[in-house]
Amino acid sequence: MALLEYVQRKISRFGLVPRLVKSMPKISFLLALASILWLVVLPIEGQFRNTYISENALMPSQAYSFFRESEWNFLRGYRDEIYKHREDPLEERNSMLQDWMREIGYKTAILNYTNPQTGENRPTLYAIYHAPKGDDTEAIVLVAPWHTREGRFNIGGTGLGVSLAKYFHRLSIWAKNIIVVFPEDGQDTLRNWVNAYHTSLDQTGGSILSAIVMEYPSGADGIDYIELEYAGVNGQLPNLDILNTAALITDHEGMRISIHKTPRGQLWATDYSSRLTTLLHAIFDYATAGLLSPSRSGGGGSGCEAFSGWNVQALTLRAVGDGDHDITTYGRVVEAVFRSVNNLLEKFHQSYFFYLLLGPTFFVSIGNYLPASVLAAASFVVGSASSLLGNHNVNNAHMQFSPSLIVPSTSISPMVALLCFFTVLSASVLAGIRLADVTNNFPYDDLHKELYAQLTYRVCIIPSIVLSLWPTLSSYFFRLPKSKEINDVARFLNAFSLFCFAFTLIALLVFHFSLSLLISLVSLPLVFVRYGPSCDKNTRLRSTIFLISSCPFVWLFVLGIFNKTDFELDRVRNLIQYFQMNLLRKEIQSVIDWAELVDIKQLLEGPVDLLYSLISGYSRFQNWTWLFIVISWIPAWLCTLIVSCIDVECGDFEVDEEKKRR
Amino acid sequence: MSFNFETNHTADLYPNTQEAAHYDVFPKAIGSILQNTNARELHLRFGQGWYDADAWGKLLRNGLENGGTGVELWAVIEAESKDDAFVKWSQLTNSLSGLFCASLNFIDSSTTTSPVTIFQPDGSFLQKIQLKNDLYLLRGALPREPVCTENLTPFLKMLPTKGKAGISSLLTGRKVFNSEWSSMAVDVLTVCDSPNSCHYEIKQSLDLIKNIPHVLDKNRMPIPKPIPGDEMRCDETKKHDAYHCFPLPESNKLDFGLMDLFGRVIHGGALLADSPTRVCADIDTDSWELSVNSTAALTSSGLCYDLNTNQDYDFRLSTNDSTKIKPLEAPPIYASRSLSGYSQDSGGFRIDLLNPTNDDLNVVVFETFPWFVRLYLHTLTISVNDTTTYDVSDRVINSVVNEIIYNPAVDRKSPSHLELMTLIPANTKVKLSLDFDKAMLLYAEYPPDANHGFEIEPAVISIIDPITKEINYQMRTTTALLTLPTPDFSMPYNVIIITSTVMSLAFGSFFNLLTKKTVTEEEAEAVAEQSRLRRITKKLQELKQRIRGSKEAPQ
Repeated sequence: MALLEYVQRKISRFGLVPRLVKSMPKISFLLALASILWLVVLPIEGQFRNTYISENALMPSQAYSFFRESEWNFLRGYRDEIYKHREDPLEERNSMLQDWMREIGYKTAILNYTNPQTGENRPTLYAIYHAPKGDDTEAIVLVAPWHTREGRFNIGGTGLGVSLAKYFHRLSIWAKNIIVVFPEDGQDTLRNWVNAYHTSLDQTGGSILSAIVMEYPSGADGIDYIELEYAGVNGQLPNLDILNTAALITDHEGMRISIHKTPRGQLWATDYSSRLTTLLHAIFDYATAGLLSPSRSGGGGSGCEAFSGWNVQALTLRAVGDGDHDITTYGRVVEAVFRSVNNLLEKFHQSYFFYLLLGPTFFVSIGNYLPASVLAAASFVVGSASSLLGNHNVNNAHMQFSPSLIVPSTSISPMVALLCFFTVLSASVLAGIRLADVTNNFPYDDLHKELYAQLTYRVCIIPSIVLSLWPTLSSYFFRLPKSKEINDVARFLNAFSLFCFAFTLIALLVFHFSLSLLISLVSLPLVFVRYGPSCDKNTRLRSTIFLISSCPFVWLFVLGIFNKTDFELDRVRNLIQYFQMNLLRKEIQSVIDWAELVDIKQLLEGPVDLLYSLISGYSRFQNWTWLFIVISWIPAWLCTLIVSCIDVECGDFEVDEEKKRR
Repeated sequence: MSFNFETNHTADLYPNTQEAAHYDVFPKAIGSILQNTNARELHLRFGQGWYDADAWGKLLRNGLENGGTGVELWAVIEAESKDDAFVKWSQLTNSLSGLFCASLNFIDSSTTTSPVTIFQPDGSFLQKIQLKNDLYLLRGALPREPVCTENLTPFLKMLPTKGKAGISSLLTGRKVFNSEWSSMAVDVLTVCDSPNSCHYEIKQSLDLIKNIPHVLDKNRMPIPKPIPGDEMRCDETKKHDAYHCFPLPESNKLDFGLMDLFGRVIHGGALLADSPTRVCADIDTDSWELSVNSTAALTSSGLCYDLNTNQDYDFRLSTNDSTKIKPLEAPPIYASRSLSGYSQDSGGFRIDLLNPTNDDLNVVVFETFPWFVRLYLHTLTISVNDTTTYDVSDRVINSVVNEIIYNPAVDRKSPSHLELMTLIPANTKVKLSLDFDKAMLLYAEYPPDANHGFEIEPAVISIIDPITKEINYQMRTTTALLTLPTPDFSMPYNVIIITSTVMSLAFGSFFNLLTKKTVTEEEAEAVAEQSRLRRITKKLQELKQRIRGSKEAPQ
């Protein structure tokens, strides 16, 4: 206490408070910088940990797998039959597989489903093996979608699905039921099955403990490595134990595992730059889980998103390439994961759900990475305080701070500011919900593509850019009288909107770290928007630039386009890590080549896809990213826009002094 | 496969304590427990596995002698009052727990219910005799109890042959519990011929479901190694070469003996019985063949064999078409129960009932839930054939649910007990669903971190004859696994640390305020000048300057 007193005395003696207040925008900026620095520090040796299996009962790779030899012949037999019927309608393919699964000894059923987006009938076949001697309370799910997310026929995956099902039926080790699902796709159809399983299906096999989605769209026998995807919507991740189990098993089978699209060349790399690349990729993937999709399905993700929210530990294992490892090796990986989960007598350890992966065997725990997001969100708190203390009023620039400034002259002005904020908030929420409602009425097909394109460009992106220009435009013909009330309203509205934004970001960061971090970083310019007299063209222009660079819809546009470019973070890493003029020239050349070939029209569809998956996210996957944006980012942006348009003619003290003079 | 044993015992209902009791074939262990606890009826069930009604058909003996997963016990106890009955009941559970090596002693008031419509005592003996006290029906179940060898051994020991001879010599824990589904039952009833002569009648039964091809496969190859290349059965009509093999279904050829199924043979007949042990085969002789393997001389009549020596007997069945078997009888009702619910703190039960028959059925759904499942009866909804859904407030619901008996739970004292009397129309599927909240447990009530969750005992579905009110068919659903929201137990320590820090900070500042004097900054500076530390530093500085001065002076 004495020490604090001493510090406080020193601060007041040297007049640090006004100086501190003046430098608050700088502090905001430094905080955001610190948050990035924090992230960059995480992959340094000593800051992360090696993964380990926390639940001993899992015992990954402890049993010798017999999915080999004659099972290999069966796999090929099934695969060949499926291949012959690949062009058949879904109903026929399902009934063929239904006969096979019944023959093996599974109980089968078909869940009818009509895709509300396309109006297509997409019945889902599922088969249950009730484990003998088991008590029928828990199940493990194997999903083999007929088509992968790119729309390719999942020939390897479905063939493997049937032959694994046959193999599993021979084993007598099962304590948990096994459910094999063959949905048409791993997105909406699978999600519908998962929802139905937990609400209305007749044939069930107990609570689902874990699920594996298999994708292998090739008829080849050899595979190169396995790509593991695990991020669920709303920042929900599967238990780290099951990830570690899968990684360990793949390693034991002699294959490499790739997370977050690590290319083949980097699978052996364990250096700082590869870890950083994976980390950045992980944050981006978590934040956009279920939103970005290579196909035109409008999001939906890799398949494991379909299980999000039902307390199911889901993974997508995707076989990649044409290499030396046999397809049964891939089957053995799936089998060993099933065995591990089957070994689990208890449940997955409760506090093992928050992590960031830097590689298949490196992770950072929540306590170590959360500060990055806290720092970024704190910059908005500082920004809000800075605005409340009058920093954002250009006219205050040459003034000294005094505590009397904080108090409003009348109680009406904060009320007006508050009212204004809530009007903007409710307008934003209503518009957001209305927009989301559009997806219920108009499917996202070729017929309505134009509608969604109009919605994206005419309703969202272009108006928001025009609005961003408003501070500059309005400076030519918009004047307001000097008044303390206007000053106060602007000040409070600015402070309040920033505060609410900071508050929502902080609330979010515990649940969805990556989204909170990314939003706070890209919307940081909001903190630097200042208001002043309309004749101050410089400030107005700067505000416009800041507003455009922090606009949600501009970022929607950027992200949508970005998703359509085949950007690989790894190439940037390669360029920086092994910098050479030749390499740079080569990369520039490849960008130029790409730019020449690219179809602009297709590129412009990116934002449309993204907007659709955002606004339909809640009804399809219970993904509330759009709701969050509508509640926090858009109102904050709109309020800042309004504030920057207000014509504030004088500093807050000048008004005071004028009053005194009177 | 079903094993049934019945033995009788003659004794007085109210024995004279002076006289010694005699036991011959009736197990003494059970007899004395029954006498001590005044139990007039006792039913004990051990069950394991899930019964697949689609594949295995109707339960044997209409399911009246099968239990659900875990252990189930109900008894009719003669006692002066309810409290007295409960004391006797705990005595009974504790004794049986020791006898059967099961955790029956964990049946306490929080798991005990008194069913109203089903499990009723067979009142026929009451007409013959005047009881001294009232009868109380009590029931409890432990769904989490793993049934195993240690439960089978006492079960066999109760038989007159002690499992050493007769068909009971086939039963070993290793093979009995290796079946797809198994159920053991012990039923003791009081039978009175006249007011003076009453006796206990004990019925023991053991039902098993075995997948014979699977068992034979496993005997042949205990490790599930891949099938050798020359034994693969491939579909010749599909692509078939060194690489491809589309598997054919399993062969219908079967050849197995008792040794294959049980790892044992019959060790002679039960020679203490009045009539010799007789083994009969009920097979279609056109496609099945029976052979007997024994060193003893056989006396047979048709397909029946008398086992009248103490030699070993093995029976062997073989066929080329294993599909030629007795047709399965379809069960009169199919039922399943599933858990639903999205979040951690609430959930729901869904019971699907399907009446495949052409008659309307009166079905009683009996369920008990532990107290931490807070059931909301008003959320009961019914959907018929997946088309229409009715709330409990709808009048229409009365046509399906005739009556609801519900005893709400008392926290930590008694479970909730629900009996729904429903009428399931012919060829109709009815879905009942109920919502519940999960209660928070006390700190010490949570199981250790390494737990599996909480098991909810199976729902008992019974078809009641509308006139005689007797149970025509009874079946049980599976247990349900419930995970309760578990707090992070390291949190209390964090809270203690934070609280302590805040408290010490608060105390420190208050203490400062109370003991310190408020002065202006100038005064404080002046006082600070006088402090000892300052004086010493000042002197030191002076000293330093003096030294420096003296150094500079000579120049």
